[in-house]
Amino acid sequence: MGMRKFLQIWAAIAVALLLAVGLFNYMVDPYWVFGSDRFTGFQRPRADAIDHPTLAKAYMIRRANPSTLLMGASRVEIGFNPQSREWPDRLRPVFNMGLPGSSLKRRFDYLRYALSVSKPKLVVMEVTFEESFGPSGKSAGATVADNAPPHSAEAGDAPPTNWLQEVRDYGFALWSLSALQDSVSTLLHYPGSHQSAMTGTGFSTGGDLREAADIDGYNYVFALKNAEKMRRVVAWSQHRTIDLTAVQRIVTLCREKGTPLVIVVTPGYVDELEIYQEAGVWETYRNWKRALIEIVASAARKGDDVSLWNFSGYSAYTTEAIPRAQDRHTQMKWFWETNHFKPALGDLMIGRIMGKGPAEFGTLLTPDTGEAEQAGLESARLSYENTHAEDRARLRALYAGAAHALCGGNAAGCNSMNKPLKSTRNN
Amino acid sequence: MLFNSYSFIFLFLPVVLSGCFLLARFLGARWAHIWLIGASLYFYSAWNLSYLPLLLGSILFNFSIAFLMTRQESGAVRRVLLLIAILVDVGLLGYYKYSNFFLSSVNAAAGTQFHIEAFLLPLGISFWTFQQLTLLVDFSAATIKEIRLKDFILFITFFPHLIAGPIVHHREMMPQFEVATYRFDWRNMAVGVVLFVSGLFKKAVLADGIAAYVSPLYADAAGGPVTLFYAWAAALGFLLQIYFDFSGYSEMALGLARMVGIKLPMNFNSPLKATSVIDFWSRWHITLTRFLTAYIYNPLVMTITRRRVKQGKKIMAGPRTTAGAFAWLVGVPIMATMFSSGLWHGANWTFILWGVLHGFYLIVNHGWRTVRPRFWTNKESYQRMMVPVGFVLTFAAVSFAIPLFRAESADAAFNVMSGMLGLHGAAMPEAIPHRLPGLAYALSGLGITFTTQSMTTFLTTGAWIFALLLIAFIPPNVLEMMRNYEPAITMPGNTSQGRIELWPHAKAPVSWRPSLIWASLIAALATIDLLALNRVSEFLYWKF
Repeated sequence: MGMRKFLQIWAAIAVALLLAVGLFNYMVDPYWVFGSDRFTGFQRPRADAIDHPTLAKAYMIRRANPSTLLMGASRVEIGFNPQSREWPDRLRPVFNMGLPGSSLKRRFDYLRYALSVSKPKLVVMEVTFEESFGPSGKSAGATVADNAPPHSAEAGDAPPTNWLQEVRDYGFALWSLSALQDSVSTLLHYPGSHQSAMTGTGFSTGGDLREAADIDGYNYVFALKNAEKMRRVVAWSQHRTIDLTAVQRIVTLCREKGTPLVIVVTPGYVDELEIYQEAGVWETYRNWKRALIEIVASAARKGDDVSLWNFSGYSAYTTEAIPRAQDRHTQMKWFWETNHFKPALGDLMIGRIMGKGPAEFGTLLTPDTGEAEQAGLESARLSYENTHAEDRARLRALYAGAAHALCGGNAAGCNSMNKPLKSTRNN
Repeated sequence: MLFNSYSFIFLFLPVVLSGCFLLARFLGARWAHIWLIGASLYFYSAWNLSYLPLLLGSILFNFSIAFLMTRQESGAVRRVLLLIAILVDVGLLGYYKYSNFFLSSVNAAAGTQFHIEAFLLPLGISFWTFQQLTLLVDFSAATIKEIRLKDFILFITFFPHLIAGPIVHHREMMPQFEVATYRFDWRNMAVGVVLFVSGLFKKAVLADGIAAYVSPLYADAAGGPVTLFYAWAAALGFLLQIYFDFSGYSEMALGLARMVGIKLPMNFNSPLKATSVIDFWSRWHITLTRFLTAYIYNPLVMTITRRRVKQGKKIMAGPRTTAGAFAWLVGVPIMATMFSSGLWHGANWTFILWGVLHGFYLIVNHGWRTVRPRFWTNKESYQRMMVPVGFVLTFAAVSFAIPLFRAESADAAFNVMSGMLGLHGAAMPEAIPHRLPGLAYALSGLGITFTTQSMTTFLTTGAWIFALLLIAFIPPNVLEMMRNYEPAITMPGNTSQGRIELWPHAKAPVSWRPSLIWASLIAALATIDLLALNRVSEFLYWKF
């Protein structure tokens, strides 16, 4: 074969392969970018869209046209099912725009984008204490796609707002090694597998959490997450700045768009609150809730349709017993691990917000109910700690370890209880 | 602008090649040559336009020196001109690359507080400075009588080798420039495409693939001791990363040059298959080894030998070489050369230590070769026994030294190296024994501890290292496979005196030829290459 023919054949095969790869990725649509399931009927949850949530949801929202939009991080993505029966018909369809690991600022960016391409009747947005950590410390709110190419929804920098960014996103979803690998992986994924996958409504099936619970056991997974959380909170406690600027901006944005907003303080397992207590940031946590109440009350006084619900605390749901170590059979009902509640608890929260659900779970926080809620929380905490000495000791040991790692053995120096809030920016 | 980028492959390269071929066809080789100069300068300025004047200024200065040298009959005058050029060129290099290093070292040692200016290192300054100096050395020795400005500029700035080599010698390039037509040629294009595609695969898929697992390991090393498995993963991972990255980049350079009909020298020849450290350095960054041998090692050896002969002292005498002769005629030149090599690679003590450690390896290797015939006379049995042993020892030695090349500080490098020796124990993710309870007891018995680090990352890193080691150890390299089509030029011996040889027709079990199977395989590689382009890619050569 001559060189000319070699090059001609090489070019033809290369072009054909590229087209084939592009077509394959378009048909499988591993990141829900193209919505090709409308033509192919292939609606299996996409396992790898879970790793590219900012990309997937930026394009899914364009097609979803939801009546209810759910905003938040992984708790929302895993815990609030858009298909839940608790959603009233008038508020369906529901789209889950939870972005794991997202900061409050990223939430504002994506909400603004979502409200520019859709007109939901209601926005339900979670806020957690750790998401409100200010910039000087190791914030829990880092974006999930920090290493991705810039200027694309894939990067998590911002949702697509110009054609060049869209070209990059489409190019990535059609012609990248990741997309090809993920298309194959999507075809091999089966429902109920131990791998998380994203449904067509943005909800995560939580498969990997199920796997961790089944294989490693709840006790082990809770211990792991508690250790991570303690390290993060102790590190942050050294400067303890709180930043609620993005929350204020979100409230203002919803006002401008005329969209009702429900802010939800989602619950972690009770260990989360005990970790705040041990790390010496309990007062900061209480002040943070007060700051949130003030933001919402101020908006309500201006006539905004915004409300604040709190589901964290020492309820029967957040204090369910963790199975013993080595027990791989007993299933927990409400939590996967300290940070993530199960959809069953999410359903209760939805019901409660919609006016149904158990009255003892969750409180509508207003200036009138805020202090009573705080008093109730304090009382519940003391009661819990009196009856759970073992758990307290366990978390105290965790704190000592984290403080030693951070403060070189000076655990006392690390624990600055009753230190006032350094700054609360909520305007 | 990187070779592995959309803008280079789909914009720059098609425009440059089209312009070159059209100009060559309709206006002649001279205009195509000038076009390539323009393209190369544009390529350099795409990195940072502000350093283009520096590059052009350096070229014009050195060309002026060369021009003056050609007009001087007196060797002494030419040597003075050479000295001026060395002072200016090395001074420039020293200022941009080493002044901060020097000042910070003085501050650290003497407690002074000299201000350290932060500025961007001109890309490839070590490459283009040394290439100009090699040219001037030969002008000074009157081995070159004449050179044209356009050839001089393209010799230095030719975009395939401008940023990261290979370091070319004028004896390789000038004769090619003299006769180059720069016209489109199917054979050149085919060979060039194959080299470029395979080089891009090594860089964008293999090197960048493992890079994602290597960086966090060195970030951890900066924070404290590293345990055994992680330390070896850091060393092997980076060794494989830099090998595939650098050799891939070199092959891309060879391919790009070949597309316009120019051949560049081979730069890597399966160095990880080396059976001795001496062998390693004849296979790794070959053009740098060649340069350092010709311009530092050989002159030192000759100077010291002459002095010892004059003083009546012993010189090298095979197995009967005295320790003193060995120390002065092998030890000193090797250490000086490898010290220079380390310093050339980067302005950091870690690079110098890396060079010195390799210098120590080379001295041991040369020493062994010198004394071995005294007690192991049978060469055949020696080869049979020592080739595999030598391979293992060489690979271990090279792996042990490589953290010095990658770590940001000596402390971080020592954390990895001491970890490789097992001084910080051995640990693995606790999820492994957790999922394999039967193994937990055995692992604990071996003294292995367990951490909360990711099991998936641990196993994936191991899989990457294993796969890349297989690729590095087993198949022939691309240049071997393409041996029948002269993919590169290589120069044995002393570059000042040796003659240029084309690629020798060595035997290899797999060889490339234009066929349907190879077209399909290269097309598949090209497809994977293009799919990999959007990944984050490290550029390792900005310090050079």
